[in-house]
Amino acid sequence: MIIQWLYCVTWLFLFAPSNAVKEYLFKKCEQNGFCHRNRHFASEISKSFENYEPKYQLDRSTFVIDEQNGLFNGIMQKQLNDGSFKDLVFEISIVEDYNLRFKLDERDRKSEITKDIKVNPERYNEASKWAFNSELTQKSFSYQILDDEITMIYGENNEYESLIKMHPFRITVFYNNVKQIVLNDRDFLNLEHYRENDEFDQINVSLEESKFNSFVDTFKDSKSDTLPLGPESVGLDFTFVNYTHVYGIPEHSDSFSLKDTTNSDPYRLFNVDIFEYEVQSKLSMYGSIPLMIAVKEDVAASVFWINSADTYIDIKKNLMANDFKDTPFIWKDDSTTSVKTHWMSENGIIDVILSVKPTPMEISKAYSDITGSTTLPNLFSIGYHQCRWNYNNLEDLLEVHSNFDKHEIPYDTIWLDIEYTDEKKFFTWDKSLFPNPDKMMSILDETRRQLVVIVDPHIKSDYHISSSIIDKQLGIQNINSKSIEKTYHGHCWPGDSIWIDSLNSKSQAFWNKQFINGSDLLGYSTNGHLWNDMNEPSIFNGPETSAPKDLVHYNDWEHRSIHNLYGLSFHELTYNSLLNRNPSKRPFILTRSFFAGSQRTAAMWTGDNMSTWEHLKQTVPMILTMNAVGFPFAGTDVGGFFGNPTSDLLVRWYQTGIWYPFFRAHAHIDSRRREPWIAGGEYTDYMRDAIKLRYKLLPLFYTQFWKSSITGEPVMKSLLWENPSDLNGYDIDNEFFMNGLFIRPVVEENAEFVDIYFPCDEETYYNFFNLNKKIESCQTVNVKVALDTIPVYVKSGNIITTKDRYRRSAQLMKYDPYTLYVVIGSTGLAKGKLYADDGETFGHKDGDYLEVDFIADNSKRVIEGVVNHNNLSGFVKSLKDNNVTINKVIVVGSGKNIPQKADIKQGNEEWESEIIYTPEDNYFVIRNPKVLITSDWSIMY
Amino acid sequence: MKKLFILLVLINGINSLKIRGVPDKYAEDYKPDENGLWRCLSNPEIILSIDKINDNYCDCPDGSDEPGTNACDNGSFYCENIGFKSNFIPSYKVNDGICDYDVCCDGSDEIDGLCENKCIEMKLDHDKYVKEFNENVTKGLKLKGNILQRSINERNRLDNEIQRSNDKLRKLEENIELLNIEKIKLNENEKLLLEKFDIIENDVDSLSSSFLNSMNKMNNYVSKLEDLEHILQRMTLEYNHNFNDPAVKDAAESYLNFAASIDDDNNAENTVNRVKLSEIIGNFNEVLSRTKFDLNKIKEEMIQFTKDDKKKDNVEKSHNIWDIILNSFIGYFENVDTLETVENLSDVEIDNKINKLNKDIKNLKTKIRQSEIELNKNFGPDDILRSMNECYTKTMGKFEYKFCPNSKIEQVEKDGRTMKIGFFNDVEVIDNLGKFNINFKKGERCWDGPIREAVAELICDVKTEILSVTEPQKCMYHFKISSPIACFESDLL
Repeated sequence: MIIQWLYCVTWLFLFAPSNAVKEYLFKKCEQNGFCHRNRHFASEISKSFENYEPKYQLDRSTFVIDEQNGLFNGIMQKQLNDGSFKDLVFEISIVEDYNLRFKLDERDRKSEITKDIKVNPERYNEASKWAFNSELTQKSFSYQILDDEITMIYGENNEYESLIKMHPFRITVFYNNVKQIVLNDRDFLNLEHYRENDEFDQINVSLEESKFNSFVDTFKDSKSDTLPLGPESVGLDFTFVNYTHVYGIPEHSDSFSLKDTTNSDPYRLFNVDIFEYEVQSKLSMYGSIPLMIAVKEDVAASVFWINSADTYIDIKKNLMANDFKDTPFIWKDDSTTSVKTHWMSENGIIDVILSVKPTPMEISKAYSDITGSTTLPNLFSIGYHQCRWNYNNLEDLLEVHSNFDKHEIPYDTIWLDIEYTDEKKFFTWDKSLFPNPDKMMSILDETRRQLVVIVDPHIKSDYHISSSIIDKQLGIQNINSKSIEKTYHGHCWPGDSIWIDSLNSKSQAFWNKQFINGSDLLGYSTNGHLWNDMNEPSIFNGPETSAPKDLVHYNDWEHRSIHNLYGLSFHELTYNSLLNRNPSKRPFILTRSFFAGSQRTAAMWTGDNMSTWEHLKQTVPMILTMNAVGFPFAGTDVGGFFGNPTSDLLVRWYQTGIWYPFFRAHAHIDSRRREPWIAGGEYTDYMRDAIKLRYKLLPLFYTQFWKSSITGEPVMKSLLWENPSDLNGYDIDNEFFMNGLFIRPVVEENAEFVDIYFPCDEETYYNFFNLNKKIESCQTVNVKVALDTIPVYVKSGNIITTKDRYRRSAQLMKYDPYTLYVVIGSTGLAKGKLYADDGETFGHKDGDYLEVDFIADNSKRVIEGVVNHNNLSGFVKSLKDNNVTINKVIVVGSGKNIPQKADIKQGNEEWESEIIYTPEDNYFVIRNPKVLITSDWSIMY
Repeated sequence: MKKLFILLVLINGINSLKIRGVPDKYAEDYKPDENGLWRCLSNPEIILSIDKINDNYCDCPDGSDEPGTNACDNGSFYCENIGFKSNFIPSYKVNDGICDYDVCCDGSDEIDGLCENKCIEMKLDHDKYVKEFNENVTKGLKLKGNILQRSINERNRLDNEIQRSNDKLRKLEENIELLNIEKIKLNENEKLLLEKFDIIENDVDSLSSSFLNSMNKMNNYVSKLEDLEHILQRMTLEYNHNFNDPAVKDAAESYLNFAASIDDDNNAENTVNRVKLSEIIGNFNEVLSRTKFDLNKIKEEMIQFTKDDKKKDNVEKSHNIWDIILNSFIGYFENVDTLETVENLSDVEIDNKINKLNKDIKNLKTKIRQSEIELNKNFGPDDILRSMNECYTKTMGKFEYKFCPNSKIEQVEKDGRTMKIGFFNDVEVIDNLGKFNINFKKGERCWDGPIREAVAELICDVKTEILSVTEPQKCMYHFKISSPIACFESDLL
């Protein structure tokens, strides 16, 4: 007996916790019915590519073309094995700023279903409703029909031409007469139309198709999937002609430039709670944005695949035989340099938008015209966030709070993870730990600090919130209505839980009630904000740690159809509730799961990473990708979620983290405390220096966020977004730009030197901390780096705005003076922009903001501030009343001729300022010019 | 704005010189020379025109040119706080829109009109606070005096006890001497016979004690096993599924199998559990006493037989031999201060008495050693914790905490299980006033973590009470405890 027991114990301790993703929990393509079938289909067609007879064609007799309203639709025929046709409905339109949209659905699907089916039998067609900012506008086009081809011509200057071939079906998009994207280039178009059973099916399944898992799911955790509608996947291929690089389709822990998937699984988009994820992986993660962007020197193109079901994307590049020297398989059919992509989704309609623009920045703009851009964030939310699972009680939280001031480290927001609740029941507080949340928040508010609390979509069984959800039938439901309770129950942090159906429009009113002023959660506070985690949704006992695909949402839509947008629907629910609580203030919400459109209402972070150097290195490519696909408000857990970073790693992570648009430190409950003062000594000094640098640059970050809120452009900008003509930058994902600054964070352990590639743009790069050190463009330089070195350079031609004084929080800096760095560019000019508003309300929408353009012309020895927008009321008036000035101007690279003084002019008044200069410097300082920021000025030097 | 932003009034000479952020007594330092120039206070090589003082631009590396603004990182601003205590505030708190009344009760750190002057009410509050605080400290000091006295008493008691025990030890040793002398007188034959019996008795004794020892060990193992089963059962019921950790999942599953196999075994006869064990021990003791009784009878007859010439009541006395053995077996001994007559005792009786005395001596020595260890323990300055034997409990959050200042800290979970956070380890003096923390170490190990330990930080107050518990590092607890033992004269304001 004892021996048996000893054996048992020994055996238990043999299993040390292993730090790796549990791959067996997640489906590989070959285990996932629709991916398996579509990949099989593609491979069969590729093998017989000369002999394959394409099955899809347009029926000319059905065409309805309304060129004035930009719409073209009709019937597409799918040929079956017996020669008969299955009718599909297609729609082609020119939307927003001349993008081509293609939609395809089954006709009369509902009428062919004879079985009693518990779910909505239609193909899901509402993904666009969630992803789009508003209804798209349609643009007129002209067209001509020749033989079996229609040519659509559109654009301001008719620069676009799309050739639509009827048989076999194909769309080729030309821009300025150059072929850019071919839709269905390889005939991978596949729409599995409705069928009752395929066991003896001789008609519906072609020779090239597989029947694998059409009506069952053999994956071990998914066997209970009832697949009520059988196979219903869609697949389509797109070729980016003469491109070599593609980007986007987050969320993956991979390089910025997407890889060929010929010898691996495809990139997958299926929102899951992926635990201890690995770097350089194509596994799906917490969120999905099905936008892929191809870039070359003079043009960029994109595919936006609007589908919220489980999705895979294969990428085939024109690879050299060398790349596959270890495998016998070599692609031989490529004569051109193109990126070929194959998109596969489990169900839903085909809905895709193709864009072609001169630059990737304009692709970002086109995408944000469709899905909306990042709402201008609260000023506090781009400051530093201190989080941990968990700050245990009121005293603990306030101690961390006051330690920041004690150590003179600025911070804005402290966070509470799940342990603040009473037994993980959201909308309750554990009052023994947090006896008076309102009081706590008012203490934080004394120095304008904020609190963020977590609320997840899983709601513990058996308390008033879940009882109401069940009573009102607002939960996600089981497909099997025979069970006593319709509401689905699963397992999450609180144990047995239900999930709010945020797709149900009636959920909003219920959710609003939980957040109104005076409610249990936020009381009457004005500085409480929200964190929506676990919204993939994460279900511990569900397949792939998520929801069974045959659960049912509002309007009987299967979870299968909406899975990837559930996270979006949930954080939008919360956003609307916060807006309802206080319509004048900008809500702040952090979400883990996301979909196209999430950028409108939330910030995101990359989930549960690890405290390792390779994870630190991985953060920059991931955030660059988020920035490329219109979701710039992104960050990762500074320090790494799991594990204990060494002090070196932590310092480097802060030095990197200050560049994340969303800058938050977070740690697992089992990890040791690691707030910046814990490491002590020089480590704390370096972390403080880094955080202070972030605060110094807040005007620059805020202005960049504002630009992004208008144009959809990145905040953290990759080299090729900044300068697509420099091909060397296409594979670089450890360097980036931020509003005129160029940064290469040190992410290597024990680094003494790092190689920095300075892009080919004919500008000069000045070391931000020592303006006398300059490096000319277009070279790789080996730079010495100590532990306190952050390689930051100002790119010439820019005017950078900073606020140099340490304050306890971002809002306390609002009336501090500005410093300008005027860095004369290769053309003798420099320019910059400043945007400022109250940082918390929607007053800017009513015009209460300040927008200033700074322009320097070295040949005329003049720097000017031109106020573009200045509604002298509200906040902007208070800037004037508080004498907010520019009190230091640093002029860099203006040449040898340094004047004695500067002549300042503002309005009708003129005065002089001293110039401080030493002969060995690259720069001089105009001392205290004291120009008010709120009206035009000029400085002659 | 082109006019210089002058925050200071410097007209009509030194007497009216008043510079924002500078106390009057240092105003002299801001007097310009005859050319209207001024030198940075610690960097006299830097010369500024007087209008650059407080012009919201930092010129001096020491920050001395901007005493009244926040332009210099390292500057400090003087709040006069008339009616209360004047103070310097770091310049980053100046002009940031926040009234930092804790330093600047007159609100002068912000632009005019933003912060009302609260010096008078803060002074009143402060005085009231000081009065109450000092009263509390005074009471605390008195209580602390009592505690110290109790600690001295406790120490004296231990000293006395050791003394008494030593006296007793000497007496017992004398008694053994006497017995040894008497023993020599005894008959050789009887001695031989009794020696044989002694061997048998010793054998029985040692066998039974080693058996019982094993059974006790077994009992221990079984109880640990039951604890382990309890832990595993809890893990199986409560483990976090999100970790998706095969080790934990498999462990939980294996435990369920294991538990099922125990249930199977339970149906069989050979199960070992604590009930069964005590049954076995009970049976054994019964058999043992029966055997001893029989042995005793035989011996009695033998002695009777061989020693007819001995007095009857001598033999009677040897009846007690098993009682003595049994008593000594269970560790009980009579306090024999004086030895009654040693004459007319049989050899066996003398040996028994010697044995018993030796045992008494051993026990006494152990007791003395323990008392000495106790006496030498470091219970902090003035031995103050020596008398703090009481425990203090408080429910905080999900747990009840039990704080025993000189022995241990425990956490009682909802299901009643007690988890040891740590045992008294040492007292750590943290400043030269003699303030101290109490360190508790070697608690129960955390799952997937370190061995638990705790620091108790003490705060002067009248009542000893747990104020808060935090866990700044996983399984490293920090207790804040109010207690008079933390009161010092120097606390008085």
